[in-house]
Amino acid sequence: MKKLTIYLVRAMLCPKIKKQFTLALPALCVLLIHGNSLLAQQSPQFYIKGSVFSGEDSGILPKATIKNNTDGKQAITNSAGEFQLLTADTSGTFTVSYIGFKPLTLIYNRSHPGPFRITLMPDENTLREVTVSTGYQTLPQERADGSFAQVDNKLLNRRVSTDILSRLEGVVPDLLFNRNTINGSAGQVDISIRGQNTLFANSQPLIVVDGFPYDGDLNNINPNDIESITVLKDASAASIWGVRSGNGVIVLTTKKGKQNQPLAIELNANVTIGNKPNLYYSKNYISSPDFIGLEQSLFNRGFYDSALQTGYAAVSPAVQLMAEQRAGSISATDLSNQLNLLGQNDIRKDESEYLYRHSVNQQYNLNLRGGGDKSDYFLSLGDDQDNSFYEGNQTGRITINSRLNFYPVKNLQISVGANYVQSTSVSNNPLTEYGGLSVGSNGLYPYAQLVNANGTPAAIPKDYALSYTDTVGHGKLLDWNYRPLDELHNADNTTKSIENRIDLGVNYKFLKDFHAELKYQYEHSDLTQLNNYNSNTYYARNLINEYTQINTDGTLSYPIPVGGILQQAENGLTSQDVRGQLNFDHIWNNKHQVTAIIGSEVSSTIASINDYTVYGYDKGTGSSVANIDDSDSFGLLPKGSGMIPNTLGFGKTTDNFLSYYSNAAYTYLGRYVFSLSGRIDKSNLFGVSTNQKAVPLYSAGAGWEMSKEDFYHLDWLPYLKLRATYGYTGNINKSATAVTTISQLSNNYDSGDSYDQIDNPGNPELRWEKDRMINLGLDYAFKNQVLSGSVEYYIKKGIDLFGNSPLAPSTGQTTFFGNTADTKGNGLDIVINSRNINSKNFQWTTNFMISHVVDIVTKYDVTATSANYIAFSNSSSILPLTGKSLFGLYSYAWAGLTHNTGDPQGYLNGKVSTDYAGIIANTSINDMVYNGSSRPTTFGSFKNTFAYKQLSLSLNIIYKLNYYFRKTSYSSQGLPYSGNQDFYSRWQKPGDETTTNVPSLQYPPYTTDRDLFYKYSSVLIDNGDHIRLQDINLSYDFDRSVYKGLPFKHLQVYGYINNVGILWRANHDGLDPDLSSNTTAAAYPLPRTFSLGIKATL
Amino acid sequence: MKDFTYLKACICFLLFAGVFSGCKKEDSFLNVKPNESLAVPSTLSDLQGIIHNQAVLNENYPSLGEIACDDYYASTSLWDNQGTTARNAYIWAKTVYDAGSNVPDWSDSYNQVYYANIVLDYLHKVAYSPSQQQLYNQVKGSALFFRSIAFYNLVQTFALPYDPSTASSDLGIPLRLTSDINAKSVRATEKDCYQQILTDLQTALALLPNSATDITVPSKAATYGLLSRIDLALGDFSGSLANATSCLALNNTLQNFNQLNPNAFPVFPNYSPEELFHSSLEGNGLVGFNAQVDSTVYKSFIDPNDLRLAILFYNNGGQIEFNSQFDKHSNVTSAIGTNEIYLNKAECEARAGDIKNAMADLNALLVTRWVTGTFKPYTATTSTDALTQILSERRKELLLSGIRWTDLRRLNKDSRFAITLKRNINNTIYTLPPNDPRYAFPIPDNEIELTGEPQNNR
Repeated sequence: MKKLTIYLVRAMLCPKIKKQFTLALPALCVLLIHGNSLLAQQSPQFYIKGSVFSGEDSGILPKATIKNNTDGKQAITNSAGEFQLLTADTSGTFTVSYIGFKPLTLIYNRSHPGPFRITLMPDENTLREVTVSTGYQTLPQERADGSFAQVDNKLLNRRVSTDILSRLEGVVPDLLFNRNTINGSAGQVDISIRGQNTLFANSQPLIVVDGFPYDGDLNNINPNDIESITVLKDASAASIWGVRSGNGVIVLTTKKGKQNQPLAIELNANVTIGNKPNLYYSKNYISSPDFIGLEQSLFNRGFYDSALQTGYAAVSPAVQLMAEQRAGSISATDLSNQLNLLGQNDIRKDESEYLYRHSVNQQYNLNLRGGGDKSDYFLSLGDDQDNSFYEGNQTGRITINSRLNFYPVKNLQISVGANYVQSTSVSNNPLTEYGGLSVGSNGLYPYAQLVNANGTPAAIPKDYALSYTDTVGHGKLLDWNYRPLDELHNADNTTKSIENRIDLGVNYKFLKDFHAELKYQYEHSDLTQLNNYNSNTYYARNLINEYTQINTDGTLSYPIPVGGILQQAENGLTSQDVRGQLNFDHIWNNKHQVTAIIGSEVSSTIASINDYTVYGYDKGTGSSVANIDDSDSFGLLPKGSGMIPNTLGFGKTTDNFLSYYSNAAYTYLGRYVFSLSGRIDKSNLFGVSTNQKAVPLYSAGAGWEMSKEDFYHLDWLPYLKLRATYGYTGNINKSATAVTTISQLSNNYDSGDSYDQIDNPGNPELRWEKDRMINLGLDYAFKNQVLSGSVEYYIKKGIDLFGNSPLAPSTGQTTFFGNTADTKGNGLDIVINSRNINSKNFQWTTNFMISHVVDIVTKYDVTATSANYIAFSNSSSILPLTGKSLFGLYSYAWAGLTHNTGDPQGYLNGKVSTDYAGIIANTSINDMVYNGSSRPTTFGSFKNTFAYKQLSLSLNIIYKLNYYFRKTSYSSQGLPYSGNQDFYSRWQKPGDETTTNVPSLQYPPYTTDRDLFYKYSSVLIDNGDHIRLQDINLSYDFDRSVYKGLPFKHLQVYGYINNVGILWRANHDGLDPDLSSNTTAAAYPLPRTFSLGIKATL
Repeated sequence: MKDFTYLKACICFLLFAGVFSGCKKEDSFLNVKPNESLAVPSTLSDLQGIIHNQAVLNENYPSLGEIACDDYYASTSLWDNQGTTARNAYIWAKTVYDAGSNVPDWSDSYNQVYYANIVLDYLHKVAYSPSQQQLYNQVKGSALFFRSIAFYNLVQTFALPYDPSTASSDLGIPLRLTSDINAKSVRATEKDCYQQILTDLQTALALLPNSATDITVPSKAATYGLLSRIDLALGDFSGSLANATSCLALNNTLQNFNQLNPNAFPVFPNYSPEELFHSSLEGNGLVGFNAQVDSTVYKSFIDPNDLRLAILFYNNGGQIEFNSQFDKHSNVTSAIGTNEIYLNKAECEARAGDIKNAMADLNALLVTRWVTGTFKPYTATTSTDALTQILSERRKELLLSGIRWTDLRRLNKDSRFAITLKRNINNTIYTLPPNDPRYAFPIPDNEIELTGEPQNNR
């Protein structure tokens, strides 16, 4: 019967299968026949049966080995932890073993064949079996020859945070959190794995949750639901993800129940309190009296005259007073007294008091899991409430996560997952809302006050002068004052998001060595941002006033109705994935093992946006005014004309992928591993002919566990493994198109009709980016795990990378975007885990990681000007220059200050010069100073964990080395608003040049190029190296085995301090190099936070 | 039984594998637009939409020449507050731009050329029905017109004044005749530049309708006007006269200034009816609201019945500033207008000795500028007298319209009309003598660096 079936299968299926199966399937069919016929000859025989559990958490142990000590036959437990071992001997012993657990030997006989219920106890002294997940399969780390980093649940929970990815900081080698970039300092995820493998395409790693790419908002993932994380770093590990894997892959595995596991309830609750940011950190500040002094000096030179002449341009109160004194409305004494009074204010004090607060984050999570014979379950509820250190800004998140697995019949598993996330974020702080605090196009003067002497909220000029807003309209207009503290209370800006994720999976085992999987996932999220500017908000009052028409008879008419204004933005995301996969796993003669998967998947992600504005909006009734005239131009107060703003916008993007993939690994004698992996991706690249839409990517690898060889006799080094891989990953940029594209716009400049804009010049040569990586690795473990870890070296090459190269402007375009660039890189990472002390009551372990990565541009067709390289070099964006680091920092050579005038000096044609325009124009690319990379090229962490009985203390030190940053300094033109403490150490008299590098103050008319030269000179480049004590975790564990009568099986109380502080830095100015100098958002270091929490298991 | 389960599982698996791999729908799945707003120019109306992009094609005409000319002057404090380019252009410095910076006068004009070239290249690719022939002609004619006017503006700004004896060796500007960004940019000779411009405009004449519904769109009248303007710059007075005559035959509308409200801003709420084609200059801080009218020119408006005193100028507390030259977007209008064409025609007639018609054309224009019934027609006895009067009125009528720079360049070739310009900043006097090499602005650094084109010698 069995043979007949196989015959039928072959006969029916083989002719029909597609090309990609033709090689694999007949081979597999042959294996089937062979494998099954082996079993047919045994007699007399009976089965020893049983199931294997972990003594640690009562979970089942799949793939545990059961060996009959009499006849040497072996079996492996299935995914339910069950085994059957066929034997002909009437009695004997068998040994159950599982890596990381102490082996157990039991007796069997024909009358007692089981089923045995076997519980293995963990063995602290052997290597734990670590399985790594690629998202497509899980495999024991021993059998992996690629570069994987595994973060287990314990390590994930060391850190307290609302989001999941920040928990990877300092615990994964090669993974760098870019804090000094614009995105990183804005709190967004900015990670690079093994440096950066692209110039302008997406640079962030692919995030995979439970086997599917995650397209939603990363903040929607509750870290309490994550069991473990695997980071795929090299081509062999990542290439299975094809064209989305070029930046590495982070695979998140959620928690699940286990079959035959009693109900376990876990509660985690914590509260985190954070300091206010240190507003006094920033160097970009000059004191109020000095600020006023500078304003006075500029005022005397007529600098504010053009603004004052308008009668409405926003000027600071000091300038206003000076103008009043000049006009004679106040006396010189009054002016001096009032300026002195203003000089006593310090906005930092007011902001700290009224606009900042201690942050308070609360996190609660409850999860239940367990399982019976035919099913298991996991259910989790999470509630996070975070109050930001910005007064008025908070976020809340509720997550419900569930996973059910059913085992209705033998070999069949049906899995259902459902995930619901609802989050609300409120952003009402005037510092983060609607342009922040500013005076016209400047920042805020340092003597501003948020509160008047009588305690009422104070007004500051924002768009127009107070003298104008107070008097224009003679009381008929709406109050036109901007009072930040009123705004704090009137603002109503919320973002609500709801995300649903549902997945279904069927896994069927058949013919002993096969299982087939079919998986489907549906994800939908809706994000609605509502900026409800009620009629009291400055935004609404200002806009209504600007558009108010004062008629000739003195009456007013309102093109924008008096009332609220609602701006709404809706973002929708729908993503669907279907995957079919066939898995094969067979061992024969106890020597050969083949595992293989082959599969295909289809995915489609559709994102849409929909923005609009409603006028005359009243939140209470939900009513608004229709028929707003947004097509005519109105005369504006105080000046100009404009149409009523309307944020009407629609958009839709679609990402479709069709992929085929396969991988196979062959293991011989458990010590030689050979692997092959291939994938073909097709996607809807616009305008590209069909044959260019697909890209094949492949990888190959080999591993050799030398310590298993017969000749290997190093007792002190019981584990030694060598690995090597080679392969390709890919990346795409869908904003590039192969053909010239236009978009239709409405409201033509003059005639108001519709017209077309040319978006993209078109690039018939459009291709995919490819990244090649060669990885060499060595894993080691000394006896008793005194030292263990790995050393990896890799070489990589970026091919056909997208480049945004400058074009001669006579082409009509200033830039061209295409596959014009190549890069290369290499790196080394070393992991050393050390058990320094391992006594019964006290343990001290150290985890040391160091990564070194160098990325170099090897081909970039077009060279920009030296002025471009110098001005645009930063850690956030790339202006590639052949032969230099991707994030190279460049500057003008510095030749000190002149003796007589304190002017900065550079080099022009090799000679010291103050001809700044000449220096800027004539500094060639070879003459400019290349300071080095602005991203760390050497980084890592040094984590020490001390455990005394149930008390555990862990400190993680993170270091970043070999990189540079550009300091901000003052510029004469920027004064007084863009002030900097350097102003005080500027050159003031001859001789100062020996002690300072800060140029003297220049007066108008300014030489723009002098400021520019100084700003970009090498004297303002500093070394970014620093060592930071990132965090401290202290915990105490209560276990029922120790504390009898404890209401919980296990209770942990923990405290956690994050952002502890910098231990050492190379710069002498007390600067935190992790802050981006390009954004004002990152003006202050992240405040220190303190957490206290409990984790209980029932 | 169990074996049948295996069988069924195998069949099921291979069935859905087949669904993925053999799917005929694959193509449609992979041809979905990644972004819904992406479109390829594929119809005539798409190309017409490109021609209608007024923000690109009717705006940001080069203003470097206007900054450097004598229509206005700037106070030291206004000058102090300008950017590098405006400050240097004002005093005719040898280097003008911030090192390495993009120069919009150059790149915006070439963006216009690029738009025109896209249209001309795609016209070969789009299908259209015979009933659309007229639209096809209009789109093609418009593209040629826009490319030509952009080339002309570039030559006026970045190449030396036309001199027939050296035009075949004087360097002009790169003539980009394809939208292919990979084509190399090479500076053509001035002769080739003007040849290309004139040939294309002749082709456009045959394609364009007499007048356009919207004056931001080229018409035959506007093309004749542009040809008349270019011929003047080339010193081809008979050509300019012929084109001016053809232009006015199609449209000779003049605005009666008595009908205007001098206090309205903008004076022309939409466009002046004299405009045949509307365009405006690149914004810059000097040639704007705070610029003061050249006092010599202002003082030459001596007749109190001359309505231009109130329409063209705005007396801001004693400072005389410009008024009607700004369009509804507050940009400086640089239109081709019938007033200019009347003046072109009069000048050419005077140069040809046709005093009667020259003065008649001048008076036809000026009568619309005077309070009704007060205008006394100008007379002349010699052609030089006529020419002098006409050029003086031209100077007054075309203030701040982008034309003065070219007039200076061409008139300096004639010793009778050559002048040296003077600027006073912080009591330093700067001068620009006639035919100085600084009458050609430097080519932007980024263009030179990326193409290796030769720089202008200033």
